[in-house]
Amino acid sequence: MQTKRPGGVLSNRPLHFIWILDVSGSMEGDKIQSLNYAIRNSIPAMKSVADENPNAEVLVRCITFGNEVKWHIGTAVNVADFEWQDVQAGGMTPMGKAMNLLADQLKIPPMTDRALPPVLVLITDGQPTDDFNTGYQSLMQESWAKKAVRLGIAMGEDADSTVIEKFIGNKEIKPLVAHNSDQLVNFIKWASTAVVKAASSPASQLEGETTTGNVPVGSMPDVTDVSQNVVW
Amino acid sequence: MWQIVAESVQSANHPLNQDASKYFIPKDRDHVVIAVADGHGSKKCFRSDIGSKFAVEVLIKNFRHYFSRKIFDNLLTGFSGTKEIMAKTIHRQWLEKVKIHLNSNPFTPEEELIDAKVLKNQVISYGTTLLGALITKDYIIYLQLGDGDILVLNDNVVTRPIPKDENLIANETYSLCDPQAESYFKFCYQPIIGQFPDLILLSTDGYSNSFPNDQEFQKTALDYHNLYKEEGLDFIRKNISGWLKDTTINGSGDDLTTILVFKEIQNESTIKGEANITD
Repeated sequence: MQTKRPGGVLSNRPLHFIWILDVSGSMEGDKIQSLNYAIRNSIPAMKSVADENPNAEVLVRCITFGNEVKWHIGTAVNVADFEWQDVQAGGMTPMGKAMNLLADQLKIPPMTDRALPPVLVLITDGQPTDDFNTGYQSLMQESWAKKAVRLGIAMGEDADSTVIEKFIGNKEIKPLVAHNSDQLVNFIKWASTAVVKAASSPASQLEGETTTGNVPVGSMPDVTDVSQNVVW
Repeated sequence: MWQIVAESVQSANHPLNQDASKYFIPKDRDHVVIAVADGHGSKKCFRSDIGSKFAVEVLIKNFRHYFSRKIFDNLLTGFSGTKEIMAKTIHRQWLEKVKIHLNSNPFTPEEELIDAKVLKNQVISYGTTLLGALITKDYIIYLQLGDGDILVLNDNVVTRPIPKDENLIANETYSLCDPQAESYFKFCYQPIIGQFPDLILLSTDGYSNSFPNDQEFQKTALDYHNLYKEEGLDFIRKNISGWLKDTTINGSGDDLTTILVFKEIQNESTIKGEANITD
């Protein structure tokens, strides 16, 4: 007698996955091409992971910071319908403003209290050219930012690892430094599959048990593999 | 005076059901005690199915003890000290049960390797929430530690005697395995003025997390009450397992446990096959 099931309409739980991408001038050329390729390349695997857990609705968005800080993809798109739109490089690195923009969307509302922990992935090749700390503080005032799984990928050695570590806020999760396109693909795939899978688990965690979010992200990808050419 | 339905379904994503529930109705039926617990089920809490069973046992025992000694009578004022003592007692007795179990069942070599922090503080592996109620003719006491939901239906209006804790998002919860657990207990003492509630619903968070918002979830209380009036209790008992399975499959994907206490409707058949659960 399914038609008499008590309660309103059912819904799986939203899992917000947000790329925060540095598209400043220093990303021009090979880096921005590699970034576009890596994200596009990760989508099929991300869709597969989402298919494996129908109780989570993986919703993807993207912020870019360069000439301007904006939502490159502002409407949360179900990963099943997600198509990557290439980003273009140019301008400075206003990472602090990107944190502010992100903070606005992690408030309740528009977030709901029943969501799964969001996954926030910062990718940058440089250092902020604006007030990162103020933007970061604004971000971390939001409960969902504190509970999120925050990851950071550096494209090359010039990225400001201190800033990325601060964004991550968890000693157990190190910034992933990509030295070439293959490594970038590997890291982005890990973030968009293994971490999404972990975040979509409904298992409860003890309040205050972890320093960032409450999702055990499992084994990090191998960051020591620099056997290939160091391009960046 | 009261009719009870209790049901629990396991998530397809979990190797075992980590929820637990228990209720007690004495022969003279002058009160009811209900309890639900949600074992965390995370990697660290690999014995939380046992922890949740201990939790409901301890709560039932305590509410029965307090009721039999009339400790809650006339407590509209001065409830504060009593609830603090009760929270401490429940926490202490749960810890004692866990320690006894650990002594008889030390970690296996496989369990010892799961997490170094849990190996040092093995109580964590039993982590669980707890919610329950003591329902009498004169008053109702609600208790909650951690996530989960308590809904009360009165004249088609659904209320929450214990408001949702806004700090508990992203699957985080307070737990009996926390050394400070007693400070996170929440209580509500509700004297019966006029009518007894039409329905009291307790559930683990897998239920409410299966709906897009609280409004859609709260319809469950209204719908159960209408089904009771229109179809009867046997209809609910026969179908509830299927409803809950449908709910978790198309909703949260979590274990899902609920206890429903209906105000008995006149001419409704007396409880059939209802087992009185005793310690």
